[in-house]
Amino acid sequence: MQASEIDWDAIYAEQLPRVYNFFRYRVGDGPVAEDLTAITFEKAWRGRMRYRRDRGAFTTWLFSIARNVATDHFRKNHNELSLDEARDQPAPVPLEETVQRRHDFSHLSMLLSRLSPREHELIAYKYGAGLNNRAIAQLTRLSESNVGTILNRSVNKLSAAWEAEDER
Amino acid sequence: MNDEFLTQFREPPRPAFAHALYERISQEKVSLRAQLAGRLTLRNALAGLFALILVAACVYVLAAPKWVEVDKHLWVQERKSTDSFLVGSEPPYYFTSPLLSIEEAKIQAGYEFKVPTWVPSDLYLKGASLFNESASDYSRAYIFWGQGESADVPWELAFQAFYTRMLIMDKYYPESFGMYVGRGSTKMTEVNSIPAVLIRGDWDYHKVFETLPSPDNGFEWDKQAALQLLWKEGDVVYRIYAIGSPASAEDLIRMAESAR
Repeated sequence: MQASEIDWDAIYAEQLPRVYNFFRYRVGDGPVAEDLTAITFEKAWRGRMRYRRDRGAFTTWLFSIARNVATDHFRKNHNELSLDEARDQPAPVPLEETVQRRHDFSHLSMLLSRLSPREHELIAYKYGAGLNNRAIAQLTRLSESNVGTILNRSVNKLSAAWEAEDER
Repeated sequence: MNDEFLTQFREPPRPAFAHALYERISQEKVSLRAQLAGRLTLRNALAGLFALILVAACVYVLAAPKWVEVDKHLWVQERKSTDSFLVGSEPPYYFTSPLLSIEEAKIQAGYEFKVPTWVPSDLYLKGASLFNESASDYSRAYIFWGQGESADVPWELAFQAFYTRMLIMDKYYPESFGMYVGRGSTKMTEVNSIPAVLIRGDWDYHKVFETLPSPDNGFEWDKQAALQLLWKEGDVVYRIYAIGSPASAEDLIRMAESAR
């Protein structure tokens, strides 16, 4: 499928929530996730003529752009916490009007930031964007089994951290 | 902690953000065309042609569909014309299922919906019907009122309740319900202080019967075809659809406000 044959409106409807949630799981709720989503789609639109693969690979192409956007963001802002720094972060305090779900996501975001950048990234692809292990492997140039192993380890870490926080 | 737990925090983008981003990209499409045209005209010193292209770009922008946000999860889009893919190839009153009583319809629908307790005096209740669209995961209940006892189709007045827990997703308004309508056909109003939209006209569905299965060149808006009122309460979208009926806009609003 050539770039000129792509239904960009359909792509937009289909991929916007996935890209947006990828960034939410990377940087948390708020305007930053929206800004990074917008940059991704603007770059995709400008670079659309470079895309020459089938529709199935389009998601990979779009998320490779999203990945670069995320990398640029963290490089510029230096706000991806190191493991040691993250350990010292207090649990987020929910605002009065914040619903439980938002509080839980805020809590999850904080725990995600304690993972290594690679683990955090894979979680965002898997549970934010809804990509399968094969697509994640293509994006990250890891083997599919390696992706599965890292994800499994990351979820176990998150689970343990979540329970530990609950017990405090 | 399992997959379900970790995916439950996905959220659709804010409609305003999705809309604004789409608009920005759309404008960039126009801008790129204008830039290309500009280079050609500069090279050839044809400023007149450049101006013409700018005017064309402005016309293009003005001709773009207009979105009307009725409520957070309810919208209509005004378009000059549309095709059967967007509006379906059948008018809202066209169906084949047998008529039921309102009570039977409520039971079979599987969800609660309100029913008007007042209708214009020259209309009488004909019955109710259901329509389930497996592809869109939302079910519709219809209640019909008519004037004469002999003519069953077209129905003079249809009250529709769309159950929308599984909402239609649109590129501008994810997880929302929406309709495509003609240009200049909408007017915002209220039903018991709930935002609602009054729609004058409908697509010229009579083409469906003239050029089965559906017209090749799409539908045009016919301002005389119908009068509609659309609003949303909880998980249910309601529409009153009056075709060939003497019911006025005020009648439709009064009917809507009487729903219990």
